[in-house]
Amino acid sequence: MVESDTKADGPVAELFRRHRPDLLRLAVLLLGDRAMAEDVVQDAFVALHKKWPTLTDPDSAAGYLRVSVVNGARSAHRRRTTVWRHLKAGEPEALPAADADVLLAEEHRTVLTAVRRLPRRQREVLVLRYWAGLSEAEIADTLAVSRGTVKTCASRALTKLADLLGGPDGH
Amino acid sequence: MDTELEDRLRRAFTALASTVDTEMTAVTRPRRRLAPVFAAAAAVVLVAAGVVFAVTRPTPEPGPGTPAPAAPPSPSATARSFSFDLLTHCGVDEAKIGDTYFEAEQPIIGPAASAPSGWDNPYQRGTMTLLSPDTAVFRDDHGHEVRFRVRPGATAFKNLCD
Repeated sequence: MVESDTKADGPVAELFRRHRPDLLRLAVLLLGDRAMAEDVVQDAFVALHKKWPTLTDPDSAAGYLRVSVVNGARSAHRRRTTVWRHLKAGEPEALPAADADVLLAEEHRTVLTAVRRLPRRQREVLVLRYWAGLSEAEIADTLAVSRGTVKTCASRALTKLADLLGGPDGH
Repeated sequence: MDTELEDRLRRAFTALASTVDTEMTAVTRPRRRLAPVFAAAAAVVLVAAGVVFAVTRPTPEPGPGTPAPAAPPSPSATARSFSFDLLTHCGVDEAKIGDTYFEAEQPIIGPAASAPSGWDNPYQRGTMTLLSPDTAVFRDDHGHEVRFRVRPGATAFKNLCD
């Protein structure tokens, strides 16, 4: 272990204790897979630990972790899609349901099933907006897109969801 | 003003998120990759332990150049035993207490440098007791007992879970 690692231990440990639960939930919401979500979150903390000596603003660490998790979830999703293609199984229409879905009420399962049928970026925007509670600007930073793109994605996602769930407002 | 659809979305996400068990589980993935994370998580415990260690190790008598302590430590801080999560993921071998590195007098290493049988993984919750500034003993509810001694001059773990 080098000295910089030792210096990172305390702050990263505190971030781990404070943010891991919500980051894990975020990854599960994005991926629908607990095991992959754990890997993504662990990778994010490993990356932060390595980056710590060059991190100019420690206050940005939480945002860095969130971006890492979103990017990691994208990579994991791409890897999974690649495997499906190599197996010639065809890409499924939507992400698989999270194991936890069986614990949910029918109403929530219906909504989540519809969400999984949306394009990846639209899902990301919805999760960051309606679960993480981020502002448009924060979502734009996290996804590295413009605020206009966030707005458009959200609008299209809600329109599509309403259609999938049957009715002008999802009924 | 949120629409009903937005409310349904929010409730569904919250419901799914609430089913995610965020407790650390036993890990069977490659250890090298996880070691920094475990080490970082352990630091939470180590920092707390360090505070206890710092105030419990014997201090020299105040001399001409040694300022007396500003205030006595609180009763809880003077305890020589404290809750401790011992990293077992690659075997029971080392412990960092405060800023001091200890090594087990008799390391217990599981198969292929893993946690020994009968120990929780990646950590074993228990109690670390400082017997002296240079020796400590870890005990847990399973009856495990491992004695540690200071590794003089150490500034890092011998092995980073590898």
